[in-house]
Amino acid sequence: MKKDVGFSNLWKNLSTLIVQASKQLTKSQSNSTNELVEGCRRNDRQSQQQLYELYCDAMFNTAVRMLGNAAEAEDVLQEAFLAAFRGIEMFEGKSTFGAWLKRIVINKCVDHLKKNRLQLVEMETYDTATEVSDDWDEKEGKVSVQEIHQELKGLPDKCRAVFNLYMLEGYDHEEIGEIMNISKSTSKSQLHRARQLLRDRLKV
Amino acid sequence: MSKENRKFYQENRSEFDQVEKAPRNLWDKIDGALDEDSENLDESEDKSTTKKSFRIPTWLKSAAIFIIVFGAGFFLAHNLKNDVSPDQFMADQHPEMYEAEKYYSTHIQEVKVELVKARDTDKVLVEEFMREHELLDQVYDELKIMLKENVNSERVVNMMLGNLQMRLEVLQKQKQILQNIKSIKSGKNETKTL
Repeated sequence: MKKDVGFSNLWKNLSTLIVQASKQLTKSQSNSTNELVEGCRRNDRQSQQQLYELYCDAMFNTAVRMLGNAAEAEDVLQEAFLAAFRGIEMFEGKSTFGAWLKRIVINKCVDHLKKNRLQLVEMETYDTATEVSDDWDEKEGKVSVQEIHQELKGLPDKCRAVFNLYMLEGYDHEEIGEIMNISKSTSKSQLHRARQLLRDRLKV
Repeated sequence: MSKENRKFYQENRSEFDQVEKAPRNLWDKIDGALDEDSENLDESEDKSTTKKSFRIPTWLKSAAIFIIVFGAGFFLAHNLKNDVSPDQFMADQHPEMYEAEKYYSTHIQEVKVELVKARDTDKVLVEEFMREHELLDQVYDELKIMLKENVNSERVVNMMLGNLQMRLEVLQKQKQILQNIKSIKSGKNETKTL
């Protein structure tokens, strides 16, 4: 009986394939957020670093939009990541890790604003009767993301924070009220003011 | 009105989230602070207490996955559904990736159908092939979720592309293997009848 050399070669090819696929799989899996979060729970520094690298830019930009400058954003970002890593057992997986981290970043930004600079006076009395005109919506589309980002930094703290929370982070006025400890109507007027100011400054 | 305006920001969210880069040395500061944490912890802990943490070894996890999945006879039928589904989010936010998804999903599906048709050649083998693809598919889904969360998109997109490319390559190789087996088997049958 001649030996089935053909079959054993085929099996060799197959096992190489499976090994290759498994290696790729393990590599991809190890990069997936769940694995990294589990790594964090074990205080694995590699996992913590990988999570940091995945989220740092998005979180940094959120902090810059909330605080108006990179220096303070850097401080808050450091605090937020440390809080997340040190308090990882409080992450229950009810939301995604990204959403949980984002909330930490936002809360720390709001705390920072309250502690340091939040201007409380004039904002409350802003007149909301004048609606921002319709054509602003079209024109805003023609302004670049970069330009808007830069102009946002120059807005007064409170309305900038509200603008970011409403437009970019997607919260509604009631949620913004809870986060910033302001009333729903204050949130609306702050948003309105931010939009007016942006429109003026972007010269659209 | 604010709602339409908001749409602009939501649609351009990933761009807004990458306008500035996080400071280069920030990780080092975090790393340092975490080191200090563990130093402080070591000092305050009684060194004689040993913490045991039980980790499930990876091979056991993989074995468990294979065992659970092996029992499913309907597995093949389930796998015929097109599992790379390009969607509106991808079309809007990552058009090049969307194109890649469309291209790959058609090709992957074609080869998969051929593989399944060839299951008579070697049923066990084809089932094993399909299991591999199910796992790869899960990884792809996780990557997609990360992309939607605005995680470092360039890196995630590259990983997704790698996953798709590999799936197609693996499928084509598997198809070849089956064809080889088939021709060998029919070759053997011919010599028997002679």
